[in-house]
Amino acid sequence: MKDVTTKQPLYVSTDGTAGPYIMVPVSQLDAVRQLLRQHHIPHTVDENAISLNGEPEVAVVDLGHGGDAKKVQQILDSVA
Amino acid sequence: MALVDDVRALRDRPLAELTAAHDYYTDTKMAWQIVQKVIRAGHRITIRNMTTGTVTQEAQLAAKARDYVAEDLAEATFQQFVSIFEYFFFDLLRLWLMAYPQSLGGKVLEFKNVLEAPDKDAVTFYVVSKVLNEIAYERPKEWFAYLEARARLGCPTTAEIEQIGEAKASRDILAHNRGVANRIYESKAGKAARYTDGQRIEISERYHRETWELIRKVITDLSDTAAAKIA
Repeated sequence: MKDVTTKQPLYVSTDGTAGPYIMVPVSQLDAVRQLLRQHHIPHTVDENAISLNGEPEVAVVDLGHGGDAKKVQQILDSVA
Repeated sequence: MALVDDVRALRDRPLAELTAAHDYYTDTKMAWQIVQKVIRAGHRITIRNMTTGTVTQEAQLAAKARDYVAEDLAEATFQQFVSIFEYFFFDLLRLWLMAYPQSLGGKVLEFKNVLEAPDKDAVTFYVVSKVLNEIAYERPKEWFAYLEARARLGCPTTAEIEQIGEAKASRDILAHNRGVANRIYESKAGKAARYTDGQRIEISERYHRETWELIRKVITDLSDTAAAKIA
């Protein structure tokens, strides 16, 4: 699945120890959440989104401490 | 200032502090997200901490930012919310007992304390402070029971008292047991316990917000009810 604003693939970040996460444009959030739900991937969405220099707002999808970054990346990559 | 004005002033300060604490949380979180976006855009960053000697570059900073926001910041501001509530509660109880000290009539104190006090208010203040100090070591359930026995405010609800008790228990674990729940946590949190012995307590964004909303509501309810009863 590509980021609709940058046209780059969405990717699962593994920075830090707080669990993997995905930065997603707000306009694409529903589609990403639907995909995660279809695959029974537990997740939460941060309650605030940020826009820089007037660019589209970006939200953070948290996959939790036990989140499987590799599996979620495969799921995202499987969608055109 | 009339007692009713004192109670309203007592409400306004913690409510403003709660707003400031949550704004700090959100603004800081967003500031770190800006840093992450800057790093993703390819900017290079080096931070040298002149005190510790630690040098952090963009890759480590992205990892640190994630943990700062998801764990440290949420835990610190959550503990701040609980502290704001504790200060408010004991300020309210002090105000009430100073205004209506009759219920403390059975308290015994040494005659030297009376001799050293400049006036009756100072004696009352001494006794009230002693009582508050004793109650502070009890659990929130006992705090509310004590207040209810004297002020008959009829709030908060039993469920809200249990949730406040759980929040206080979580705060104590974060402050004194490195965030790992134990039997004391289970006992203090009671039916509202979110974890069992040995589990790491997490402050999710949802729990963080719900605790903020609960504390704000309980402060408002208690002070408004107290003010209405006095007026």
